[in-house]
Amino acid sequence: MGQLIFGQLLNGAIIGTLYGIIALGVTLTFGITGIVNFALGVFMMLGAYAAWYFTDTAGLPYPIAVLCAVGVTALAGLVADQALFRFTRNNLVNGLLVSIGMIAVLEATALLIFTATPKELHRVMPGVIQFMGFVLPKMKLTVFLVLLAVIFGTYAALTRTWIGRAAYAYAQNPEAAELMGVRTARLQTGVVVYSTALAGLGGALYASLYSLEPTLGSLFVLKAVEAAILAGIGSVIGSLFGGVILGVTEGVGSIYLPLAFRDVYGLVFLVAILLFMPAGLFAGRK
Amino acid sequence: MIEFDGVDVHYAKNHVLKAVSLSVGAGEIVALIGANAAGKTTTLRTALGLKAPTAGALRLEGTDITKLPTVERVRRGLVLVPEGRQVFVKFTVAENLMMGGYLRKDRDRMQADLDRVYALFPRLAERRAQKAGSMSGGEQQMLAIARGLMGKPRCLVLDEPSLGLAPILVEEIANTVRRLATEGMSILLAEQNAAMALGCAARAYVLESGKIVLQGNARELESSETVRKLYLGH
Ligand SMILES: Nc1ncnc2c1ncn2[C@@H]1O[C@H](COP(=O)(O)OP(=O)(O)OP(=O)(O)O)[C@@H](O)[C@H]1O
Ligand SMILES: [Mg+2]
Repeated sequence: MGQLIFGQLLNGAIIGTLYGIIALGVTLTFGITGIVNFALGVFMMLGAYAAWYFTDTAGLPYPIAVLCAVGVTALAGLVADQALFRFTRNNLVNGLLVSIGMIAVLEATALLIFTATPKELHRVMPGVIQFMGFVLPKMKLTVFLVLLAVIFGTYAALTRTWIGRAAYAYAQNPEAAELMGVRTARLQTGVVVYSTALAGLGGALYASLYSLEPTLGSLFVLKAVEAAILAGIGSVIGSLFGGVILGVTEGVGSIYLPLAFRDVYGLVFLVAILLFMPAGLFAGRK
Repeated sequence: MIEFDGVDVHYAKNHVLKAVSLSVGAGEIVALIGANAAGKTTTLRTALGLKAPTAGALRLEGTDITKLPTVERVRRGLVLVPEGRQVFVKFTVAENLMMGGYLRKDRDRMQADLDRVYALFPRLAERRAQKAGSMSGGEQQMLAIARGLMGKPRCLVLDEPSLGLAPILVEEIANTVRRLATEGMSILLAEQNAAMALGCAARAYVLESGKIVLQGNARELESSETVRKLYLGH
């Protein structure tokens, strides 16, 4: 039983950091462009298939493939921003329409190219480590640590660099930031692209653990939006914890409750939290 | 320093500024006075490029800036302290001041300038670690001005800095404005508080429904019949 619970905790935490990395993109994009980018799910999917392609077809070492996948996703994000998202700034409804349209088109394209047959990456990093009688797959641990590092790195950049300061100033008062000389259009594009790159990274790492289907991102982005709301929109570290709390609730919940409803547990938890803390768990923090 | 040449501004079909021409010389304080909705804020926003004119030209130190984006105007030394302070409420006083220097090449070495504005506004020095959102209106106004100064403006544009402040604070801000001008800064000061503005300025323009209806020496305007009746209330 202990092994089972620990296993579910670990799984939940890893899935949770994946929710968290997408949630971070959701939160940043919302804070700077005022739209909820549900299309981050398809960028995750794009990152996953790109990592699969660069490893299995192009034969690159997996870490290089991940970097390439992030690059491809960021480039796709830039194109999407300049062609579409640019026209939806601070317009929630138009943003929603564009992202939903993008999901439909990109999922259909992925289905066409990669078919519905699940794709598996050959084992990237086999082996486990033993830890206090528990067994930890090395790859899972690596994914977990990389995602943690990226989220904390983003936090550090947002609080310690001029670009971060400008972004946070812009989120508080767009016009005042412009009066300080922040290039606001460039900042918005930068944040949209960075968020898609984060989603691409999430997908590329996901590819090392699970098999790939064109629709893999849609559930993730819903969970990420849940996690971002749970944490309180705008909180960077909060999106990590929101994701992990959601992942762990689902993982542990499905030991005791019917597995078929696992996607509901997090939602129930979210509603419960918001009843008591309407602004989210980490409201008021960066 | 800055010059408006027959500037027209529209909000949709609403003609808000009508052939506005005005200028501020180097080291000069110029007041722009007018009642609510006269178009003061619109004039200043147009100066900074937050609103585009439909006709006319803007010049900064002789160069045409009509088409320049806001960032480039700030870079050339034109800085606006906006109406309603617009400080970054979740930033501390110190962080707000640093944002004021965002465009500076030496933005990582601003300590000397920080000390200078703290000397100018000792109250901000005491509160440097306080969140701007939790400060009083008067303190926020000082912070907004100090933040503007951190950008090393050659021409400082102030939008109703006296709004909502106690008379003693208004006097303090007026003194600061005078002091900055003696150090060579050009200042355009928009105010409903005509007494304060005319007290600081060398010259003034009176704006009414988007038109400049009076202009001239501040001392003379102070004693003119219309200004006394309509703007000074005596
Ligand atoms: N964003 C806007 N959209 C539409 N109309 C506007 C906008 N901003 C200002 N106006 C209109 O332009 C006119 C001038 O407004 P402005 O804010 O420049 O006046 P003001 O002199 O600064 O007034 P106050 O002393 O109240 O600040 C007003 O009639 C106002 O309704
Ligand atoms: Mg105004």
